[in-house]
Amino acid sequence: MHKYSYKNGGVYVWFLQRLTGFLLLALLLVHMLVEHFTLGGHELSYELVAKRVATPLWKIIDSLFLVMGTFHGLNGVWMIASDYIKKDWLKVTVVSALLCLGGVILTLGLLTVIPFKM
Amino acid sequence: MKAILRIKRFDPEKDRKAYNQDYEIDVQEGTTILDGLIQVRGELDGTLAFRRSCRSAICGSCSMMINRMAGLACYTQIQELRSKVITLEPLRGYQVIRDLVVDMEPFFAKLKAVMPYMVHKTPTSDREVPQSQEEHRLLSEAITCILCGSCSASCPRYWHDENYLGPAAILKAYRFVVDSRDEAEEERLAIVNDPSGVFRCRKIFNCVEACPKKINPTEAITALSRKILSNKF
Repeated sequence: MHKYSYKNGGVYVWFLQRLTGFLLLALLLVHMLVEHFTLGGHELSYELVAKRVATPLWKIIDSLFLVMGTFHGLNGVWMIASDYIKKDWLKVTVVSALLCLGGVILTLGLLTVIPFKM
Repeated sequence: MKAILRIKRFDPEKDRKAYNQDYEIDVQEGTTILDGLIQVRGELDGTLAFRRSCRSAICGSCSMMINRMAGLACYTQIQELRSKVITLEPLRGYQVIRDLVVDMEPFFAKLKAVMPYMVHKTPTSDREVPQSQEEHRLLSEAITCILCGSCSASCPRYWHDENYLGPAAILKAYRFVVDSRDEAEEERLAIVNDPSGVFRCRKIFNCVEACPKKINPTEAITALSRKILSNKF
């Protein structure tokens, strides 16, 4: 019989999913406002965007965006998948695949965001 | 009036697969599904297996899927269903033992997991532990649960995750957590905070719809989630 315990409490993942959902929405709003209304409006160019992305503050914001988006998306997929997957080996396979995918996304994304120069 | 009971039959000693069998029964005003089943077993087919005990919606033995909805056979009147053919199946999410009889053991094991008993740690005198009417009101709904298992049988999460505590067990945990006399809130919240506990609930309210006692287990699940959240953050 399954041993029910606090140890790997469901509350953390549940709370993080809500928190990242909320923050993603807020960040998206900031992104939209800055990118499409204050920065260039209709005349958005590579130079304008690159100048913004190259600043340290935006690197932090974009990295946060990337980390939270990856977590929220992959955790959401796992939450839905876990509703239907019964077999233990399949659970392990799916979780490993999602973790690998997350690793790839984060590595590629951070490699793009952090060393970016104008 | 006549009605047809389409019953899902399965005898593990004889059948390789479950099959449906139709029985035509006499229906009068007030005839319940259980009356129909007793009629079938008494007059048409003595091999039909089902559980029943009190016949007045208090023991919870005769819960089954009635027209695909979990409910009590003794509490459901045939005429109210407004269908000529009524399908009767064993509770979903439970192992079938025979015909409409399912193995309730995992259900009760999960109930035991949430410590379904009063824990009073501080020494008391040999007088009773009093409770005000307001304090009692918090648990007055939850204590009417008869453990029929209809809520869990209507929960997709319960069908798919064999570890998921299910609405009935979580409701039982809630019943003790809100009880002013109980002193094991922390332990119980720890148990329902398991990944297969309250945060597994998808809030689709199937359990609320299924409960023959009109209890709201989803509300209890939400209340416990809130309690865990406010304790943690």
